[in-house]
Amino acid sequence: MTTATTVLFVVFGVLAALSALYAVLTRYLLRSIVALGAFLTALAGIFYLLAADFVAVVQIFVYVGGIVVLMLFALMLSSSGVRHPTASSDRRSLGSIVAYAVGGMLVWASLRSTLPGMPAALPDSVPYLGRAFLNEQLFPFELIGVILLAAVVAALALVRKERA
Amino acid sequence: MRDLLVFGWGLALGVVAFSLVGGLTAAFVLLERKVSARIQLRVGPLHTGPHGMLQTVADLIKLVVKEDVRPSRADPVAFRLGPLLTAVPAILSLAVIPFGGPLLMRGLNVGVVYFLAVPGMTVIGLLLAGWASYDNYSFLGGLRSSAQFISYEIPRTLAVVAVVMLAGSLNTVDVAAAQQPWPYILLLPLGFVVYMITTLAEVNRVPFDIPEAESELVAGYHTEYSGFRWALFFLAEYGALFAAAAFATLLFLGAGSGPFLPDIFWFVLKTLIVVFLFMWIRWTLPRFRADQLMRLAWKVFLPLSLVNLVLAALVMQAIGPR
Repeated sequence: MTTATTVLFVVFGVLAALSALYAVLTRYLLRSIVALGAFLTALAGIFYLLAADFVAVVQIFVYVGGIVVLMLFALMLSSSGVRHPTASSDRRSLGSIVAYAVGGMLVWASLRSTLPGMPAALPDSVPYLGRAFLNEQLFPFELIGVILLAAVVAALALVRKERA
Repeated sequence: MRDLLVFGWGLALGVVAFSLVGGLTAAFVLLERKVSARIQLRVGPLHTGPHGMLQTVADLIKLVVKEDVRPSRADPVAFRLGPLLTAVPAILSLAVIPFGGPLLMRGLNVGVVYFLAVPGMTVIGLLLAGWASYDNYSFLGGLRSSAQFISYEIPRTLAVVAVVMLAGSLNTVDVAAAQQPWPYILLLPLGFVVYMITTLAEVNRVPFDIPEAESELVAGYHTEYSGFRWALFFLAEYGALFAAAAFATLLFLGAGSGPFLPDIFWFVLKTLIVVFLFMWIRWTLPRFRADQLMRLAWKVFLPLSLVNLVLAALVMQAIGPR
């Protein structure tokens, strides 16, 4: 890594950590979602510095342009009347226990494992990714499609039930 | 040391891009007023400078010195963030357009995906601006624009996928080079039509300007904005228009190829012709209703873009693998 990339890596890392903390700690849901968007963008920057440019761009495409917009959209449509929706301040619920457990497991796993040496970055990783998706990883790739389809059908079923 | 030079060069290019988009916006606003005037049998701005050419400069000075008004119950952070998040992605998206000459930027192997992904962040800005204004017109405008953007993003992306299939690369420079004998408008005419119409919807222009339809929403998401922040929305709109036209030139019109003159001349000329086409459409066609807009996206353009994908596969079979 050159000096400039190291500096940028630190900048993106600090940005990611701060925005992630803000997203969790703020009580205002809207600011939380925007901070999540900032976190995901910083993460894309880190992916790019790690020579995974396709992953970086897809991160912005899917997460910032898709998921964050969807969350904002859902928040604005569901909270009509309440102009500044807030999260409940109770942080001892079951959800937080699960979150702490998963976080702890991830920290434990990353401390225990030794990271393998990074292979040389490919000049253009897209053809390799494409081949991997349509050959050895075909089954999980298609399975994800089926899961997403099930999610869409489930969402439709929920909406129809409410209308009936 | 070399790193720092590269870093500084990047920063300088960013400043150049921002100024370029600023200047373009001023020029395009004037062009739009002149074009609309001609179409409506008027003369348009005439008195400020020769043929009214300094009118937008005067308007810009007025906007910058104007008082910054914020509704008293608006959320201060989101209200300020909205215009910024709208304008910055429009400028960032220019980074992968290979204009040619000194502006042939070739850094990213996935430039085509980058161009589709980064303007998507604009929607967050529009939603925030509409919500933060504490105003029903703004709020509805923000929601409509995001619904429209998400819907039209799908057929537009599929139209671009067909081009990528033929070019065999996601690098914008390779896509330009792959069109050397025939530009893709000849091989994929349907894809070009789908791309152009869905792009009109993406940059919120008539007949797809439902988010800011003045007859029902005053001015949509930027109803409550004034002064410099309002100017930022204009910067975003015309910046996105220019970028989308440049991308159309890159994908379908053979990029910078043309006889005698250098690449950059042909690229900019073709882009300006596409921009003029967009303005022409804006001042000739009436606006759709919100439900017609959605039906058009899902029931017409999505199937058409899938048909276009099949056609692209057939063309690939016909001309052989690249």
